[in-house]
Amino acid sequence: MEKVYVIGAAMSSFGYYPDRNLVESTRDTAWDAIKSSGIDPREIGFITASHMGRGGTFGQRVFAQLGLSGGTIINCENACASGGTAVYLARMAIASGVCDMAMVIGAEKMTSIQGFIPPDPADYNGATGMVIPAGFAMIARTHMEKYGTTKEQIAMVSVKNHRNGCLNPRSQFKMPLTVEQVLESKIICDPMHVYECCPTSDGSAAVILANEKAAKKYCGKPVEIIASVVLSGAYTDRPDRTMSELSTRVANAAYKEAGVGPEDIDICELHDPFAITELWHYENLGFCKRGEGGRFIEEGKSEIGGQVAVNPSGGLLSKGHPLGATGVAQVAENFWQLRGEAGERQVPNAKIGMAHTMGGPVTGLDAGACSMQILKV
Amino acid sequence: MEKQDEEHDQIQEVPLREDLWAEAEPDGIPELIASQCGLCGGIFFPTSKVCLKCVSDEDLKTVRIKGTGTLYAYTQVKRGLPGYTSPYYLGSIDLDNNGPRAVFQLEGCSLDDLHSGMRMEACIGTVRTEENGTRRTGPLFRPAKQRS
Repeated sequence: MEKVYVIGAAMSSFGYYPDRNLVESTRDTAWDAIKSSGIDPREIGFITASHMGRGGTFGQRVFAQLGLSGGTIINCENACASGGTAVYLARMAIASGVCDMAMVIGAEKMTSIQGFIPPDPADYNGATGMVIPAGFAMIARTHMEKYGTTKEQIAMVSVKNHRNGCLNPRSQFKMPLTVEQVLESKIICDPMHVYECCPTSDGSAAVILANEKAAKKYCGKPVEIIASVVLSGAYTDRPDRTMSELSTRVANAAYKEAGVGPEDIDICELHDPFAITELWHYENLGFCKRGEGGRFIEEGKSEIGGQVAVNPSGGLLSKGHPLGATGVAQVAENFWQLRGEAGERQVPNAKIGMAHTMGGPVTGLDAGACSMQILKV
Repeated sequence: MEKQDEEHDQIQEVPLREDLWAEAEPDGIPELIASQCGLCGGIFFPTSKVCLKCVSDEDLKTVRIKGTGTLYAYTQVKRGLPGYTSPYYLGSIDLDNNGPRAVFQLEGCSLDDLHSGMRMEACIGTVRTEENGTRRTGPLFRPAKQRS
């Protein structure tokens, strides 16, 4: 297996842009990644394009405008994990020797979708009216009941990520929040507040991957992908919702592949569509013991400068969540952080990073898909 | 409820799915239609083509299970999708006799009435209303009545 490196990254600003032409803005993001990495784009041998609802051959519509449409372009959908899955596929193509260099783009225009991610009425849970926040509201309640997690601790996740988002020029929100403001915002699904939910976002991101030979040719400080995992939820008849069986399995598989443990992670771009989700994943990814997620945030362990800087970019809660772009943007953030290029939000001495996405409501499963990359400089 | 239905008999009621529940038992609680695997004993609701644990259809039967269970988790959805009367309640219910943990809309309750671990029972009602007014019906759960 060839080693695989990230050698370039770009993203658009995320935000509410209903009038933006997504094909053209994604083209511009892809070109930014190409220009900033200094590669000859004609050497790209494999392209994945991550999106959930952009119609047929979106990736080809983007790359046709760059004169780069002759080779293999695969469009990739795995709900919230689409971007992480597209990175997984591109990494696999290089690792298996299919090509020397690959590119991943991710994009979404959530402002064109009614009801965020409407559940499928042909799926049983979807038909009952089980909207996505409802599932996580139930998880919040079970976590509070079992472990004594408080609503203030959950709100602190949103406060932290909005504080980080203020430092990120590409973040949708640059809006500091207090715990009081979060808890006074309106309830979406009891006990979840609107300031504990990610916004509706448009945007795009791109990364360029290379094998060792191409990385040496073009990049002075490449970032190695030392693990990449994509798995799906397994049927469980009585799932313990205080934990995520899927994210736990994915993290364990990724740590094993990378040969590192949760204590080695300096920065983690973690899937936080809701504040409770981040607190829950501190435990699922092994950053703290089961039941201690509330204390973990309260003691500042997930802050920039803490035990592990979680979502220094602002995360989905503040930076925004254009589905197909999210997992790609997480890898881009890791690229910048591990190279020391993250500006005001830079995590000091970051050497090992992680990107994690999970999503897709399916009856009987924790979630449809979960992706993880561990990266090292 | 029945009287109201007579008054609005022009409004069509169509089950959410054909295979979700069976006529009410003598105690008035509808039974749920599930699949049970003879190999591992697993029970699946809604019905399944194969045993989701054994990945086998060798000994999978359609069975009726009691429409009773215990509340595992719940929420109140303040504003749902079009067709759902908001706010509404959702609950994750551990169905009795080793049934699965399944999601249902809850009715006849407020947030103050609900607590995890409480006994719940099924009833049939409207899950959502389509644009043309057709009511899609299915099993809902409500706090169990005390029975002698």
